Amino acid sequence: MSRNCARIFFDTAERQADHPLILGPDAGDCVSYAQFRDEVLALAGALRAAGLRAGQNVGLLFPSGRQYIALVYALWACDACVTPLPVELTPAEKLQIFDHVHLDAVIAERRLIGQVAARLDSASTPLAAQALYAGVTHSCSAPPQLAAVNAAFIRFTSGTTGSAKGVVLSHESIHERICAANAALQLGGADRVLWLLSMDYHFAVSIVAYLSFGAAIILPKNSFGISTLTAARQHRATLMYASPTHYNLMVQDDSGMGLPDCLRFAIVTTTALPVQIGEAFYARFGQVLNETYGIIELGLPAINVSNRRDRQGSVGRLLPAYELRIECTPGDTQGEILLRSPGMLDAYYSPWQSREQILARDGGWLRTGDLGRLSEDGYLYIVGRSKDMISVGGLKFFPDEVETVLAQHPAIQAATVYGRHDGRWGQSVVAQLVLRPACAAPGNDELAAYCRQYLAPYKIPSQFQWVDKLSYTASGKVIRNPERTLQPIGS
Amino acid sequence: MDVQQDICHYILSQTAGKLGESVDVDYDLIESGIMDSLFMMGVITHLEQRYQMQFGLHDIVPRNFRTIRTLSDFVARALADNRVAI
Repeated sequence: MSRNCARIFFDTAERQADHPLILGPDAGDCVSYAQFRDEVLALAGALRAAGLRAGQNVGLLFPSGRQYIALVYALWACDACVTPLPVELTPAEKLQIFDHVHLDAVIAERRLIGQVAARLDSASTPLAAQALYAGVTHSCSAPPQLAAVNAAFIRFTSGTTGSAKGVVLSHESIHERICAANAALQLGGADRVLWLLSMDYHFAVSIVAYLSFGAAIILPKNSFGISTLTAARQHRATLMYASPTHYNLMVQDDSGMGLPDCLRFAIVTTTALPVQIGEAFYARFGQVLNETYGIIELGLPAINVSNRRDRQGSVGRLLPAYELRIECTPGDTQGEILLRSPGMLDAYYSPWQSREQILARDGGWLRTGDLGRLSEDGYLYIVGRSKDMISVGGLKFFPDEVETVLAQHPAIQAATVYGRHDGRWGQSVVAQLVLRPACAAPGNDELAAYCRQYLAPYKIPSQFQWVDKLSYTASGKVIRNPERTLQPIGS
Repeated sequence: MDVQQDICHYILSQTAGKLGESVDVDYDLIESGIMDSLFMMGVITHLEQRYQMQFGLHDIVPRNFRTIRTLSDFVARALADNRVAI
């Protein structure tokens, strides 16, 4: 029988039926492994009754939380695959996913299903209080090669290198990733992980690891500092898993509350940790933040579990399962990071590129597009990014997507977009615009309202600048960031 | 459109029918689960863009984000303090 993350969870639930799995959001809320397993099995039964078959791919349009986890595991228990339809995307962005990834059905929260109704059967089946299941009527075709993959997730993403392609992850790859990460994290039944991130973007090397290794997940009421700290203390968190923005909100809290004394790691993910947030967190709580290096194609190659202040700023030593090569020019100590390991993505979805084809380009290595250096004692420092990806509050996207929308505005002749350092969100979005001749320049309000029709809120520029012309390199490529051609990380 | 109306309009447009067609200015956005970190980021971006003002890190606390009224009061104070975005 092929590997399946749901079956691994069922085995864990068998071993520790009464162990807590979900704690919160209210103080007394506690769901045990056995209760959650039963919830998953009931949902799986409802999905089969609704017509779901093994091998189908289902779009999931649901807010993060206990039910989100249950729905993913129920789909896996049916041997189906999951494609997140992130809640915060606009309806237009969600519908675009149907054109790039073949979907057989959708599970949506009742209030959200209307956003994708144009692609669904008019009849839907209730699965649980707020979850509806509906078949898909219009979607692109699946690549024939997909049938050979034991697919768990297909994430619609631009990937590391730009244009929309989708990343396919099998149950085997996810399992290899969580085992690799656990060499450093050492997660087990005694752990309680405080969770603050969007499950649409973070699930495989986190939630799946917790359910596989028997840890509990703490879900706070919201992500304000006071709520996070209260939940961490109430439920005795041993790990936190959050973005720099969340840690910043904890630092700003003025209640004087501290961290629980059992906390082992405060893991920083989604984006590079600005130095000042790490310093402020240590000053307030006496805890070093544990930085990580995550790549959708690979998992978590590095986690800084040293808890050493003199190693803050590093993403840690490479985990044992990973191999690293830094491609430097002679005399240089930093260069592009290339990696290889188990748990590599199984394929890019569209156009289909198998793992073998992807790796063949660089002799078995994955070229990350990130620039790094290694210290003498093996700590990896990410020093820059050779790609244009923007990260706002840990949510990543490529500027092309925003530029395409802006360039379709009738008053805009050309647009370029880049990320500027922002102390709150990591980066904020700046757009430079060239006015179409004989047009009046629209105001910022009008431009923001126009963008809101097509783009999720975090992608909308916070600044619109009108320029006479865009800047280009000698080879004719647009220079996106006139302030700096290399994005600083952790500055 | 005044600040309260604008925030009402923005929140209703971004909650996909969760609140129905109108929302009270004293409705608790935090207790109801609407004001999660992604939503908050959108609110801040919208207000900064619209009113050319800036939220400092210490301003991102529940008392400012609890209701439409507390948000609009915050914007009014920020504008009165001339906390203009740079």
